[in-house]
Amino acid sequence: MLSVQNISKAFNRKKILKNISFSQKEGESIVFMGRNGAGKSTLFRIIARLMTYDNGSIIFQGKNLLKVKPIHSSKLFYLGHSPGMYHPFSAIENLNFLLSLRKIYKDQSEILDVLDQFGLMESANEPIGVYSEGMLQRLKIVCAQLMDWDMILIDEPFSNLDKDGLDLVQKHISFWRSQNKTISMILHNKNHAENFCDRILTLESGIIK
Amino acid sequence: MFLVLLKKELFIELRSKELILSMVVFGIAIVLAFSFSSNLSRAVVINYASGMFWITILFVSALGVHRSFAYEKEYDAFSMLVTAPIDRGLIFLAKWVSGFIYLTLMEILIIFPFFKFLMIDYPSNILIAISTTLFINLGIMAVANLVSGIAMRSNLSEILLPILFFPLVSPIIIAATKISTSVMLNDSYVLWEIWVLIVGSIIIISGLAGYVLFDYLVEE
Repeated sequence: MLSVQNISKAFNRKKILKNISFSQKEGESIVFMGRNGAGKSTLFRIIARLMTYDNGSIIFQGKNLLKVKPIHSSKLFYLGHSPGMYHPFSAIENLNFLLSLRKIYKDQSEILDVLDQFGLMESANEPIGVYSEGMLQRLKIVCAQLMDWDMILIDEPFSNLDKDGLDLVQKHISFWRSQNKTISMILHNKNHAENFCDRILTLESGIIK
Repeated sequence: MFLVLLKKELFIELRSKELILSMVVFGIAIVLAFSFSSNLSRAVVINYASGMFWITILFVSALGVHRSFAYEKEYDAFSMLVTAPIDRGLIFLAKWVSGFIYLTLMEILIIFPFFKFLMIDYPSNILIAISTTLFINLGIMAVANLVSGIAMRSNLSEILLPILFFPLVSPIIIAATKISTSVMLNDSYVLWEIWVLIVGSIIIISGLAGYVLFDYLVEE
């Protein structure tokens, strides 16, 4: 599914990632752990093609991501630390826009149903600029639930969530795993990591330990 | 897909009204400053009016394009846009067209106070005045969006944008002033044709560069 070979990245001559290599099989779930600043988010942003890299290659579903247009990585979905949505828009408007970017057509009832599952029905028409951090985190998972992807990269899916939110997100990640979806996550809690992955990779000083 | 992106650009402004409002208030403030601070005769003002107008547009367009890209930075909305399986050049085209629409709307709102406060007559050939203004708007917004795309991913984007934008858009502003003055004075087209060609060349170069390079510019 994904093969990352010798990826390096430096900021202002400081090497953040040093020849990172790993591969991930279809249906496999990997958790990346490591201290703040270890380069986990940078690695995810490089795989998602948000960030350039100095050398190496990333093969996703048999295609080198550096050499193909983003249109060829439609089955790779990235959820960053921030919501990745427009704050003047409501949850429904943001979701409709993101779905249309990926040419996915869903009934409004289906979107509302998923929003309802995540307790966002009441505020579905409010601009997301008024949402709390926890609500935004829930909205990101709603977005992932509605998209059509084979592999997802999620940066800290459990942050800012209350008990109900944690349960909901855990339930959905378990559901995705049961559907044989490939998942890469960045987590800081080792208990969560052990529950939701097949493998833990720890990044330390720019290399995988 | 272009229409989806354009609709997003237009709706986001419809929701927040931050961009047009700040552009219009800033534009009218400059017009008022020009009109009340000068005590020139009407003949002199006619010669300088085009320059005053395009200087106003220069600052207002910088403000507008900065706000347009700020929406993308807040909540890291741009990451979802850039990781979508779309031709990234279309993002540039949508921003270019929406910027053109906002700038034109803003000009419609400030043009009447501009002529009124400076006490100058409207150009006799109004169709030529409108079409040349729209043409120049296209050029300004092509450069503005290309530069904003370059500056956006930098940590110093707020400093980088004016540093890159003002020198790069200067040829258009100079050409715009020459074209508008000639239109106001009813000069023959032959006398200002060269300036139209300069603006046209900049539109083609900036438009193509923006469309082709945006794929690379948007990556950090």
